[in-house]
Amino acid sequence: MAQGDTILEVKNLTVDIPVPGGMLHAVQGLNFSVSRGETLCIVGESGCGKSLTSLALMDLLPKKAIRKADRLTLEGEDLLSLLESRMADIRGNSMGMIFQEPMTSLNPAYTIGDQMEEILLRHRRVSRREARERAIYLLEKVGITAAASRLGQYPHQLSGGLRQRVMIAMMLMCGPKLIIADEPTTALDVTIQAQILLLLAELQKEFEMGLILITHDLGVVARVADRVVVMYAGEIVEEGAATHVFERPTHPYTQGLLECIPVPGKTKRGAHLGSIPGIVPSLVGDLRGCHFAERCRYAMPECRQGHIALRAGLEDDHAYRCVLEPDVTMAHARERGVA
Amino acid sequence: MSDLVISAKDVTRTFMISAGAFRGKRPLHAVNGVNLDVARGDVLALVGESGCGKTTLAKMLLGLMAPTSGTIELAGKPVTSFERLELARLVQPIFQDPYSSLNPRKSIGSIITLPLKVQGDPNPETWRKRAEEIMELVGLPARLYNNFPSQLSGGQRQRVAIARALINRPQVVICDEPTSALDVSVQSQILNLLQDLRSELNLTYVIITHNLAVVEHIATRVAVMYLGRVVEEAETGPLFAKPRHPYTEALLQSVLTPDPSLGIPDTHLGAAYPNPVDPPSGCTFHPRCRYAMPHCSTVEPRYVTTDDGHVQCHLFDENEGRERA
Amino acid sequence: MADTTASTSTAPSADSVLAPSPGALMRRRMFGHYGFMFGTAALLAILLIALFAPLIAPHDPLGQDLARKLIPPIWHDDPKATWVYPLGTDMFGRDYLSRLIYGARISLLIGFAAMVISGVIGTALGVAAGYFGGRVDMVVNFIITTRLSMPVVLVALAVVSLIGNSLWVVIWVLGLLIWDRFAVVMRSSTQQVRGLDYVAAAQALGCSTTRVVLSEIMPNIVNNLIVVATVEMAHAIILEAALSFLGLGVQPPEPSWGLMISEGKGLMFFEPWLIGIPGTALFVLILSINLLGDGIRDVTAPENRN
Repeated sequence: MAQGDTILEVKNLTVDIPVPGGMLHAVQGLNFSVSRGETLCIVGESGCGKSLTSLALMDLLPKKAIRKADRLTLEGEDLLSLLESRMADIRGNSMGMIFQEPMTSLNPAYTIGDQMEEILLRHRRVSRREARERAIYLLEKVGITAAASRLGQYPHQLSGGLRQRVMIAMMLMCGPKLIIADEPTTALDVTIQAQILLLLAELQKEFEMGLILITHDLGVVARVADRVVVMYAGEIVEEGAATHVFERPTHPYTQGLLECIPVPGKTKRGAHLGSIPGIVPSLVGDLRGCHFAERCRYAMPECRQGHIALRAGLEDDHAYRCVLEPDVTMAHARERGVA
Repeated sequence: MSDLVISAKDVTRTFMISAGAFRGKRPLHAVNGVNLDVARGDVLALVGESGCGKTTLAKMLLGLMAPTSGTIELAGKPVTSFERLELARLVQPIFQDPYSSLNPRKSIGSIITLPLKVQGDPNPETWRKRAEEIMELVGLPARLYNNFPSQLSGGQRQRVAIARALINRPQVVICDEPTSALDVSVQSQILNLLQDLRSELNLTYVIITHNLAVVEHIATRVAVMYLGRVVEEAETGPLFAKPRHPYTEALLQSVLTPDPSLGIPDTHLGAAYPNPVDPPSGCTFHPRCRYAMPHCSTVEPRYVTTDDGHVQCHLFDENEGRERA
Repeated sequence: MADTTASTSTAPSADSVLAPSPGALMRRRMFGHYGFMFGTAALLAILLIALFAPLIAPHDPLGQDLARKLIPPIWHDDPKATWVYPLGTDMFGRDYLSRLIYGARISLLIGFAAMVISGVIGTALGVAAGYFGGRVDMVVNFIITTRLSMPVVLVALAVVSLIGNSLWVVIWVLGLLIWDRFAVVMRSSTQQVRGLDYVAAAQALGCSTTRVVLSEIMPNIVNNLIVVATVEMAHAIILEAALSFLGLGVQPPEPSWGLMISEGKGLMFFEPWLIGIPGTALFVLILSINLLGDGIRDVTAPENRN
């Protein structure tokens, strides 16, 4: 597979969860793809469905949840109809996942070495010695000194940043083609965050992997993403190349988010920050119109009817979901000082 | 002479930590000789990474923990000389996690009026009205009075925490990461609220946070902590424009602004954060410092006063006759 | 002025109306939980039977009539069985149904009283250890370990045989012996809650230790307390039955279920109902208490269900 080939293709992914009161449409009709060497960031606030999306890709949704898609393929292999045994083969093998809390993702009862070796031994026919060698190699790759002695340590003996590095090394044991990282640096200190992100970028280049990074931190997204997907209430409201989305935010929600964050040097010190009043709407039952309409200052009657489709923005590789014309919303963006 | 609301001199807090099953206990200097002055109306940001001692320092400022040595004075009186209730009228906290800072078994009204009850406020019939006043001030609808925390969103819960802290009009509010657990769109609302309340109620804030963008926006002064010491303290503008201490420089570089044309910065921090029980010799930052000089590993840097604050770094100690390259 | 547009709607994200209050949520869960409903119903029934024993029992539980001894219960295919004595009579001609009904009183009284005594002791020790930590914790742990190293039944037997066995001696002995689970569970629950921010907030408000413990911590650990209380009540009931069976609990002619089993054991193969009936009664009582306890645990903290 060459650089730039599509690893993951997702078409019309939906996740529904039955709740008392009806069906919760947590994720509605997502379309995206990830190529080799590409970083796709899914950004959104709590309740937007981004974490459920990552669980849906790995088929790790809660039992009650119903996953449907027109297409969900990993390197051409259809993931929708797989038996759990085959899916278990893929997880940790061709698809790796990094979670937010390294303490709870690492088993406190086993040493680092045991856990790392187990992943490789589970998926490949190698000897324990070979597994150990690969573990040491990867620990050094992620910048952990004295790797051999670390193998005998337990997770609680390491700091948060080190544990996250171990998680990354563990995930690389089988050489996955795609990594899904769900808020990998949120629980870490600022300086460690930068180091971990640099590390992920280097490893991605070296191993030619696709990376899906899920986060609510717009700063991380801007610096790291090749492409961005902005999610709100279960839908993609804006997507495109990172430079396009950040320099010309076309959807009112994206504009609102950018207004909320203070940017040293840009935001006037001491002035009120922008805010998005209101809360995420209920996604239970029949949904109509734009989910953001309740909170959007530009909302019109037609926003609350029918289904609003994604439309092209002002440039290639930039789409957004709004009834307003792109030049109209861009004028708003300039008024609000985010473009 | 400005009105100093908080004055901390040489404050140290040591814990005895057992270093292993059969080894004895060793001292952990969570806060190690901190000097800090906060003037009325200031917003002091305490920044630093986990293990730097900022939470321990905050607990001491709240009177929840006594310093092992050194003094903390609030409004001119030592913290330890205050009556518990008197101290509570002077300084109040706001915590990070809106999900654990409210008692899930109590109604909003009972949470917000608890300070009045504890202080023995003599007119119980006025409590509900006072609670509703403060709720309006923080942007909570009065009808939530009888609801429970589990029925409220994160932003609303944080507002309840703010209402509880402010109902008795304290002078100082210690905020421990007041917005980190909230969504971006809610964070800005809470930050705006905190700013408005500061001018309306003439409050002084000490804000502990790791979010430097927020610091630059609302803080008037910044104190950078590392392994229990304040390594640099200055006014916000000058600190961001020209950071002195190498750690401050690294921290500021780690701020990720939403600028897609920039990549991920390399902070040149090298080695990992040291174990606080076993700190490096001399300047505790030297193993990670890109400007480290030979004597940094043996001699502790002195407290050097600058135009608007202080710094602890050999690079800025004129007596050593050196300037930063 | 504060941004009041922030909460135009108060609903958390998944609902268009305010989420149900914790009380309403619990009520909904309670009525849907079969174990809880059954346990409560059965326990309530036994409680009512015990309370109204004088009105319900057809005969005097202590009234002997040797001419009527060993009449089998009504479901036996035997000419002697009669509706006058639906559950038959024992070897002294005493009506078994009446003895069963009055026996419920003894079981419930002992179970409840011992549970309360041990609950007070264990909770006080556990909360103190969990809240204060340090030396207090060390001392309480030592006391708990000492208690755990004592075999309950043997100690109870020893004490009762030394002091004598009135009803209240049995209650106090049990109460002073079975508090350990209370202490351990309350200690860890208190430790969990102790570290939460709302406790620190209460302290920062100037709340006295008493107020913090009673008003902030206790309401949040009371669920665990209730669950342990049900377990220990069942425990006390079984222990009393065991003691009475061994002759060192309630003394004849009192109709303790354990004693009834003991008195009937010699005739076990010929008149099996003598042990079957009180045995079944004990089983039902313990089962309903346990179901109630499990139900309370599930209803108040469904995430702890395993």
